[in-house]
Amino acid sequence: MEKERLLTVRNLHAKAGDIDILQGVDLTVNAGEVHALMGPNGSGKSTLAQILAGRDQYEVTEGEVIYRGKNLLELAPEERACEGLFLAFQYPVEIPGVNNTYFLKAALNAIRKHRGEEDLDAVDFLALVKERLQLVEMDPSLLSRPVNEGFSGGEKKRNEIFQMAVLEPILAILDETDSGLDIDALRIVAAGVNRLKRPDNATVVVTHYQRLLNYIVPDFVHVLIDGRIVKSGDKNLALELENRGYDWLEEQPKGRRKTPQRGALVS
Amino acid sequence: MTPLAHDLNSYQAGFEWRERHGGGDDPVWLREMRGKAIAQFLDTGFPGTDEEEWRFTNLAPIAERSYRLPEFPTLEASTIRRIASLPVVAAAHCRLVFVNGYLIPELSSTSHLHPSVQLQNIASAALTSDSIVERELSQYAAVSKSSFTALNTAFLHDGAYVRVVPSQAVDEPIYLIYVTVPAADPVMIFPRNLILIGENSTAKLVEVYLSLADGIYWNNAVSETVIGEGARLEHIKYQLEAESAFHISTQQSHIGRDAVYSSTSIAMGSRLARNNLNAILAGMGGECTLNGLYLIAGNQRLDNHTLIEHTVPECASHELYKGILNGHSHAVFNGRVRVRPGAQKTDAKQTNKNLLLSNDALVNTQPQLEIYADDVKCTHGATIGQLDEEAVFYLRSRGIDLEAASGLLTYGFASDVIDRVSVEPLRNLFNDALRERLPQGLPD
Repeated sequence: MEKERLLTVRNLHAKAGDIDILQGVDLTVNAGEVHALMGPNGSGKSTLAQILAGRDQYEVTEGEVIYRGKNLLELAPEERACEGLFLAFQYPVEIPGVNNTYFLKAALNAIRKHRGEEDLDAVDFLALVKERLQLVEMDPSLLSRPVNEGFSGGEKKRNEIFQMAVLEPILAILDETDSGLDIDALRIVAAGVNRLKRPDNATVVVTHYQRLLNYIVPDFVHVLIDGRIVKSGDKNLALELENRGYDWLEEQPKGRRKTPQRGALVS
Repeated sequence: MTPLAHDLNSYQAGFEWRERHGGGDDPVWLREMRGKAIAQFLDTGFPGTDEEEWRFTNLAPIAERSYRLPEFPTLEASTIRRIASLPVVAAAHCRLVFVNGYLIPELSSTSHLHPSVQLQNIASAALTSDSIVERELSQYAAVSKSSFTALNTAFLHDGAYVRVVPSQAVDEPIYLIYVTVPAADPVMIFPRNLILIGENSTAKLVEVYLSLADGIYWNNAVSETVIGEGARLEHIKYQLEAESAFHISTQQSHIGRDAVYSSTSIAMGSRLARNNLNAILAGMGGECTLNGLYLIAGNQRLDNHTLIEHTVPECASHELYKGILNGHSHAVFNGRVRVRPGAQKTDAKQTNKNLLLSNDALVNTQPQLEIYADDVKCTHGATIGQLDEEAVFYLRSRGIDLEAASGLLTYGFASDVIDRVSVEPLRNLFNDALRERLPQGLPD
């Protein structure tokens, strides 16, 4: 059976202000797949993730993104979310005064409304929340706190995956979810992501290091350098990057790079 | 007929009329106090914008109008029912309700009153020659320093007297509710409160100012609050005046040794309002928290002037005022923290944050630190801005549309202050009022 095509990125170019960041990204994601998007700092990984989620501070100058048959770039961020796209933020935003549960209920019901489903009532919602909390072993007291306010780095990342567990996206993009997590938290978060995996959804894991991929095993690994995917492969590519760094994949500088890049830590 | 007060002479005439009609029966000390106050007011008149304290707030709309002194209101049964069913009145189990400045016993309720609390109207307390009222009234809010305190004192005929004896924990909040029933002629009302919290006692006190309908009137209120040694008071003020009304309020608080005073001022009403909030940390180890939220729109003008005086060492003060402005509204925040010579180890923090929802709204924010001691920690910060774009994007990325995301963030901005109020029914009322006034609406 042919897998459903969820995302097609074709020749995507984007800039922030005057700086070219994406310079022709091509990427295809099908249902049931896990993709890892790797690359050195400043290569454009997070920019790609943010553009897919609808952040408007970047200007797309060329190319297209088709998400489940729709022109993704024409959709507002909330429409993308309602269509099943989810971005786990690298830096989750603190929202003082807005209760975590209230926020999540508003989000879930907005998505359900979009799908033509009834709002979940308080009882069903709380049951769902309780169940999904366990998936990421998150402290329930965080639910009644304002969104991310005063959360530790690890708690914020767990909260992202918890939101993902409740909202059940079709395409989840995890932007550096591993940064700031200790090894135990990493394992828990990864286990949560793995348990949310279904044949009809897909995950794109954006990461700098191979470490996370020990726990979330990718079907495909892509290396983004200077705003372009320069190499794709299977999970072994990640191991190779771990050993050799990114240098061997980088072209000679063309004067466009903002900062000199360094290789991975282990050589 | 009561005289009109269109210039200073008319205040003099109003004063004389009042002294002839009822005021003459009051104790001599009270009459003398009023006499000095009216002389003071006539001497100084209304302050102008050339005075530093009034730079951003032009009082002309108040000063150029005439006001009548209201007579005791004869309320129809339906009006009584309407007032009784106001959410804030219904939520207040223990309350004095004043209408147009007069205590209305049938609307008041003291059945839940803690036995250690004396809750009376000043008129009765003064008339029964309460020696404490005689001693304490007008000892804290200085007539010589403020025209509005002078005017309030000159027309001091009624208000609330709250006294908690030492070493009592009073859980039930005490409400002082000032309702105005506007008439065709604008009235001026002078609520006056004297609040005495005895040593090591705790209490919660709520002042409410609201109107039954829109109309022009002027409330000029003064509250004097004394928090005894080791006592704790949570003092909440809810200003929900009519949109054409004027509101001037002076809250003067005297905080004793190791006492904890926490004030929350929620202001949503009136066309022109000024809050003077002065807290004096008078004993070592005292703590003062001033929180405020103002939510204004249209052509509303709202001015918060706060003063925290650290007169002795080792006191702490925290201040957080937040404002949400829409339309052509204009807010002023002036936060003065004065650290007197010798007030070492003072720890003072002040924050004022403003959210502008329209291009035409205006804020003047001004922290003023006057520090005359060298071993102190004083910080202040002020922000004026729009909604945080990152936060808007975060909410939208979860499926919440732009409108609802804006509403949610605005709500969150405000509930940050509301959530600090410990009285749950009040928090709910504030949140309801907030929701009603949010321009963007909220998710269910």
